[in-house]
Amino acid sequence: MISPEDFPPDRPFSVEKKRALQASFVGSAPQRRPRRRLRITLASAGTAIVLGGGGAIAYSAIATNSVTDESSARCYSVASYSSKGGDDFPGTSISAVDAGDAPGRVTSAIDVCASLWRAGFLQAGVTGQVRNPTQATYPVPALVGCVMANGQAAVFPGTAAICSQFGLVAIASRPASS
Amino acid sequence: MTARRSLGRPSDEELFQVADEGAETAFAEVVGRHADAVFNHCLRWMGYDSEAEDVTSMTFFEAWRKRRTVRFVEGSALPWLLVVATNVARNQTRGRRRYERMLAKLPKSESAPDVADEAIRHVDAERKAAKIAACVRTLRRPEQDVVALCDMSGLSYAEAATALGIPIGTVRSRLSRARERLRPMLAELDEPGHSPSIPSAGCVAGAPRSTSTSRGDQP
Repeated sequence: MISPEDFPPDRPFSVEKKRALQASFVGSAPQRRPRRRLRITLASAGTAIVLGGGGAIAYSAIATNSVTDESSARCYSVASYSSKGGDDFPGTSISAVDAGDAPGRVTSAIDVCASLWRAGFLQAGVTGQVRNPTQATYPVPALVGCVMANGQAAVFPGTAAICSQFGLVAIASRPASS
Repeated sequence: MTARRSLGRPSDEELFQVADEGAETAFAEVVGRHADAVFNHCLRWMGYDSEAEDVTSMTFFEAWRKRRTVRFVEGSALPWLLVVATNVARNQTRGRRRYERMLAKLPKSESAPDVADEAIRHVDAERKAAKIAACVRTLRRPEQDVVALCDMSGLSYAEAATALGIPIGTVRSRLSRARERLRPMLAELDEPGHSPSIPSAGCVAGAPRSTSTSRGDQP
C-alpha cells in the first residue's frame, strides 16, 4: 500500500510564483472593461460637451448619477476620499475576475464590501486592508455606496451624508449589523 | 488529514463566498493557504515532473472557474482542490490552451541547486516516487482518484468521498480494488537489487501529457 511517507518531504511552492498567482486574482491588475459600458461613459461625456458652458461640471453631474462601470468598485475602510487619490486609497478594490472570455462584473458593491467587513478584511479603526483576520466574523458598520466620477461605485463606512460631503451621489445604504 | 480551518479565521467556504461576490482578495487568501499542499500533491501525482508548478497555477485558475461547484469538507476547500489538481494534471494540454495568457504572466521558475548529498538522496527518492506515480496512473481513472487523494495525499475516506461527490463505501471499494492491482507492481519496486531508475513491468515513469481515456467523476 502506498502512503505519503513513500514520497520525498514536502517542499514549498515558489514564493515568487505564489505571490504572482495571488496577484492575478486581485484587482490590482488592470481589468478589461465591457465595451458596452465604455460606450455609455463616452456618451455621457459627449452629452456634457454638447451642453456647453461649464461642460466639466455637467459631465461630472451626469457621470455620477449612476454606476456606469461595474468592472470594479472600491471598499473604503475609513470615510476619507480624494478625487485625485489615484489608486492609493484606504481600503481595497473589488473586481470580478474574467470568467473565460466574459469580463467580470461587480453587481452589488455594497453587499460585497459588507462581506469584506464581516470577514474582517476591513475593520473599524484600521486604515487599509487587514491581511490576516483573526476572528470568524466581525461587525459590519453602516455603509453607504456613492458613485465616483469615473462611474464606479465607492462604499464608505457611514451614512448618505458622507457622499455629499465628498461631492458624490449616494446610490445605496445599508444599516450596521453585528 | 484534518480540516484546514483554524479557529477564528474565515473558513475557505466563507472566503469562496466573498470571492464569488466580487472580492478576489479573498480568493488570493485561498491561494496563499493551499498553494503548498496543491503543489506537493501535483509533484507526487506527476512523478516530480518539472511542470508541477504550472499545473499548480492552472489548478487555481480552474478552481476559480469552477468555484460555484466546490465541495467543502468541514469548511475546507483543500480536498476539492486536490481533486481539481489531479484532473488538471491529467488534462494538461487542454489546461495550457485555456490558461495560456494567464500562465504567461507568471514568473518563470528558477530551480535552486541542492547541496550534493541532499540532491543524491532526493533524486533516488524522487525516482522511486515517480515509479509509484506511474504505477498509479495505470489504474482506471476512478481508482486513480481515490489513490491520489487517500494514499498519496493522506485524505480520510470521508474527505475523499465528499471531495469526489461519491459515497464513502464507493471510496472504500475503489481503494480496495486499486490496492489489489497495485500490490504486484509495488512489490517489484521493493525487491532487493531493484534500481529505481529501471521501470518495472506495466509502469512507465513520466507524467501524462494528455487526457486519459477512462473517465470518472470530475468536480
